[in-house]
Amino acid sequence: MTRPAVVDTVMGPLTEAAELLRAGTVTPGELTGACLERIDRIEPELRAWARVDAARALEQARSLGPSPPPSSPPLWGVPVGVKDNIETRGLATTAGSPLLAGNVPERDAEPVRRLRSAGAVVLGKTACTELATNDPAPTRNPWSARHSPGGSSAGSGAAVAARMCFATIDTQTAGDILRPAAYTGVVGFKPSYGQVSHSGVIPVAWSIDTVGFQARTVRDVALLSGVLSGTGAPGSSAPPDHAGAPRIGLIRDYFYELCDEPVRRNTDDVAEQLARAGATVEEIHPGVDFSLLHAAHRTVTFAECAAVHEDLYRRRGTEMSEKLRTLIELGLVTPAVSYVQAQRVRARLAAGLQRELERVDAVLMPVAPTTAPADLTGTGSSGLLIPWTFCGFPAVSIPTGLSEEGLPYAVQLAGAILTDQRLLVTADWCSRTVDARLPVPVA
Amino acid sequence: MTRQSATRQPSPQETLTAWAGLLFGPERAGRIAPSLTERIGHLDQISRAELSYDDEPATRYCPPAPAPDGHGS
Repeated sequence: MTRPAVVDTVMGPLTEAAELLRAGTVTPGELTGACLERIDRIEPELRAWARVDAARALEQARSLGPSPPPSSPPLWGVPVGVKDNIETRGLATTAGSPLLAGNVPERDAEPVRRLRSAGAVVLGKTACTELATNDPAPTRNPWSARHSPGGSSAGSGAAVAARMCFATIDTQTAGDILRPAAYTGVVGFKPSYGQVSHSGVIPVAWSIDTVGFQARTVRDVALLSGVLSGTGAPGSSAPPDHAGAPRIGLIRDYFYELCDEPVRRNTDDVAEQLARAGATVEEIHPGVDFSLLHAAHRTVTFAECAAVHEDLYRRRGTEMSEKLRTLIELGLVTPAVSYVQAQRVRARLAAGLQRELERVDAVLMPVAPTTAPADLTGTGSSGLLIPWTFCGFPAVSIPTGLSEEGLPYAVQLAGAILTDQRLLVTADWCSRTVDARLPVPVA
Repeated sequence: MTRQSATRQPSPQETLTAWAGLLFGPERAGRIAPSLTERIGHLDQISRAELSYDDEPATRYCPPAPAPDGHGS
């Protein structure tokens, strides 16, 4: 029988669990056992995991002992998941593709190494779309089985939302972290490009791929970001309090044109709430051709993805899904000059956006055009996320409430490149101001 | 500042359609034709945008050479 204190801890955020572990209120073995019990019970319906390494996770957790050492690392005893395109020593890493079955890495990816060094307990690999591209994962959204959980980090969002683990490490090349986070009602954070090493990550497009996180609060992802980027003070569980109410730039241009009315209304409501709480909220017009940025992103992504997986395509392309096969073929026929032109477009527009973003603490807009779509053949639209991912800017998705259908709403905040800490401080202020407090979707 | 392109080159449409046929065969090229058309639209949009700038040749952005570990420097 699991102790009530352990059950309560599993339902709460990572930062609180880390504190309770350090205080000896709960033990790593108890917490890992409780997460594995939830996985056993919920996983057959949610299918959030590609594989769970229960025996090794329990062994590791118990080896930590019941009480922490004097200077315990910041994630001591915290159970987490790792997306299936990030290498884990001795645990198969297939990036959601049967073509990589049997790929058992001999070493951990650098983010996993840092996670373990910080004391985290890796429960297993969360399900992702085929080679982290567009063909959906088998995962179901914990809020509604007929609605998409997003992608590519689908299993991660579902696992964090359903309290199977406290956080996951993921990757984003388009909208792969923030979109599933929005659809499943958790916090998703994509740091600035290069802030977290992607050594040991199976690439989609190496010049864009960014390692990030899904967790339950902004302070959770801030802690993870500090640990994995090496920029956080050891033991720090939260960014410092914001010196004052932040300056927020609301971007409606382009983004609102793609959204349905409830999502536009939700974003406007959030902007009003923030302004009432003292934030300076002004609409800004970046004057950037976002559709051009989108076109350039597709060009770079397809070309780099084809370069990464050409060998696999030549050998086993007919076994790939139609979506992936087409993506690689489109990359293979992309002229070299077009690839370079797309990189030039990216550099020009990123410089323009950087100037706009430096004027504010963060820009605010929707994460996705709708709440989780009732369509399990796709993963939803990444159109509102691509500009920030492609330009290397940090971006965070925070839940803001539930729709009439009972699906999570969210907003996105993005900051200038390498202002991750400032963005997280701002997002924490916004999240606490909105104070959405979503219920747990699965008992 | 903008400038006009003076030299007639094969359009992206012509280049990609022919190349897809050669690489994948006519059946497969036909299968991906709708996606190819969208792709060609993107490439055309990018090309027109890039050629509308009148940069000094030496200032044009060029992707970096790979570092010894295989990643961009």
